[in-house]
Amino acid sequence: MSAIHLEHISKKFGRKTALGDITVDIPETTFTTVLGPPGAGKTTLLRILAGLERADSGKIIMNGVDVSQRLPGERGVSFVAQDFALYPHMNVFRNISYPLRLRKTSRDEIKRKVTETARFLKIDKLLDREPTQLSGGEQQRVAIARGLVKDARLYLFDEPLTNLDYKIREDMRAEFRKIQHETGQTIVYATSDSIEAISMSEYLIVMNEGQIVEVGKTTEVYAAPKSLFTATYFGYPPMNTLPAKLGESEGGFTIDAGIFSVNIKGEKPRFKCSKPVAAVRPERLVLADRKPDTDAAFSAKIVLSDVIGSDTIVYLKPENHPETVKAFVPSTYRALPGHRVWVGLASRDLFIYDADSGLLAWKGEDVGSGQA
Amino acid sequence: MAQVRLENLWKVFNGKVEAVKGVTMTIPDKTVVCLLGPSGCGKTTVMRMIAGLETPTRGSVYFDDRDVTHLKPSERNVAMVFQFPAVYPHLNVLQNISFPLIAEGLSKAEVEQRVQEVALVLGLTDVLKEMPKALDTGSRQRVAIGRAIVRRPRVFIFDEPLSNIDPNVRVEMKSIIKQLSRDLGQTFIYVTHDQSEAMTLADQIAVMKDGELLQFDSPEEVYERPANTFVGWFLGNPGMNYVGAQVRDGGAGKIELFSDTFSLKVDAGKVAAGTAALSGRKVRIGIRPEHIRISREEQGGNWIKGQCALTEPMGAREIVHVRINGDQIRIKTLPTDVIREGDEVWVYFPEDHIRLFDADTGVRIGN
Repeated sequence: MSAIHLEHISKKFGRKTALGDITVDIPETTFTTVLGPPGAGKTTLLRILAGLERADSGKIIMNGVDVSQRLPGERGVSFVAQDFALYPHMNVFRNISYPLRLRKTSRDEIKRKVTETARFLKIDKLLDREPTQLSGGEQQRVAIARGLVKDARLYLFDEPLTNLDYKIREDMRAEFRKIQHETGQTIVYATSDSIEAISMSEYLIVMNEGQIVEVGKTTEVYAAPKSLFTATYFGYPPMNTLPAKLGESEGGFTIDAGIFSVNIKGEKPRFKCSKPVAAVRPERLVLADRKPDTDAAFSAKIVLSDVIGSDTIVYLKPENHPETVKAFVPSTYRALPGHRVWVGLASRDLFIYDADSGLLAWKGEDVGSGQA
Repeated sequence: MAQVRLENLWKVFNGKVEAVKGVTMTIPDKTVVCLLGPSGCGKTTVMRMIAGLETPTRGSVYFDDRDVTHLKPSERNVAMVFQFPAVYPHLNVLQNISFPLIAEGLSKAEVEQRVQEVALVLGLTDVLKEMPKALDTGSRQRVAIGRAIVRRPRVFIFDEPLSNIDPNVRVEMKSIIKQLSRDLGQTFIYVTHDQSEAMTLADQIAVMKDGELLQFDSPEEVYERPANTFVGWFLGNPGMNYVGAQVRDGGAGKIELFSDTFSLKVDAGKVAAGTAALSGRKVRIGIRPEHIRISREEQGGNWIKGQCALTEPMGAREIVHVRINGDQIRIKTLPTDVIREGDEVWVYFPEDHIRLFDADTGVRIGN
């Protein structure tokens, strides 16, 4: 049963299309992330759900009722905007409890809810402070807490962690996921950060240029993105893509990506690709000093080893090829820029997209392993 | 080229805000040093005192053996690159880069040669005739870097130069800065709050907090053997885990780390060599998320029982949160589909990766 159903929603600001004919279901009691680059239409979508913006056309159905014409206060929605504002004359406790006091919640209940939420967000020691005494990050967490304590059917968050320090973001991601698991709230969360999308949400809506590119369970979208846009956007870092040529072979087909080629036995691409692109996740690449015994391998020069704590993103320039290839490896692998390495990959980790339609045409796991 | 020595450096603002509290360190010649820490830790103030933009309340700054504490910035021969690219908007790229050389009165031929060299290194050769406003922020920052290096100063200072650069261009910039620091063989002081910039670029990292220098070591040492629990937590994604325990003699060259719910016998030589009897002390066991092993099957020996509180998929990795006693730890694994929230699990801390910290002070003891 879907809690929220958006039907043919479109929105223009002047001549600029913010949302173009969007139809999507948002599941109930689930953490849904709307992922996309700036300008994708995420904020407009959230504001239309909240009732702060009126769609040019289309309907919003919540629990079977058309709420398109309802005012924000009548929708049972809690919205934390990116440019939130705290009440300057109220301390942190009163700011957070404000929506509860409006609803005449009992004093004990208010105290319990506020303290618990403040503890989750690590601001429980700041409850007596005035907003002006808080850092930007602390103010932001107060706004998140105020959004979470409100009794609502739907919780909307617009990039709430964007301005926080990296270390705080690390904790907040886990807390958000925990809160949702414990309360079973329906959360729709907009972000441009892949890691937030992967780590927090059950369900994912990928947007670009006012359109929905792909929807699905987050883990499934990660395992096999159905669109080239998702493949090149969703991931840390996202997939490597290389223009490729497809050819015929006995009982299968060949993929020639310039720096490597493989012979695939088994199922061919679902449709004829006019501009085939071969794609592979950075974490599926193997780096070695000698040519590895993998389905395909190529030699490359290390441009930079970007150490992200226990993992490293290695940027590689293959011989006689303009593209940079990224590998995601444990930081125990140490090699210096300028060093030559072998890069190995397995056929089952390859994807073929068509750059013209932007669609997935073939994925390696369909032919199983060791078939190359 | 210069060695930079800071001696008991203090900076107190308005007679009460202690921004820097007695920092002493020696930055060796031809080294890339990152000053790393959260906002408000004092790293920028230290950098500004090295540059001469701020006068220390107490203490001295030396370049090699020369006391420069009271020299003006212009007398120190330091070049700076700021967070926001500082370029002259009315001069084109060529004029921007050659400006400091013309001001020094170098010959036209020499200016030309040096600018061409610098432009080549920074990939600016094709845009020398462009005006800054025609360039993106990343390219403008390269122009600012070009103007800094063309002077061949004694010390380079980079103040969060990548903070305002588009993430897609940041990697290219990192790679250019890495390359530059190696090619120029100069003293680089690089201020950042970003651990990955520090780990990627630095020969040595100086970690600061609350105006104090906590640790000054190679990236590997800082990461593997943090001076205290803060450094261990601040570096890493996620940072080091801590579990409270007490110590007693385990016999046969072992020490026992125990609590109400677990007991670990570890090689005293490996975990705590060089420390006097630890017996009776309260410690925190420090271990990084990527070093912990986890299993759903009951295990004997040094495996500790816990409960899975949360799983966080990260795409290429997965973070499993486990409750042990009153502590919650995070374990980084390859994506698993086996462990679920609420599951009873067993975790193992390999003794090579166990670090011990004093429970009260947070300071590392032993290895």
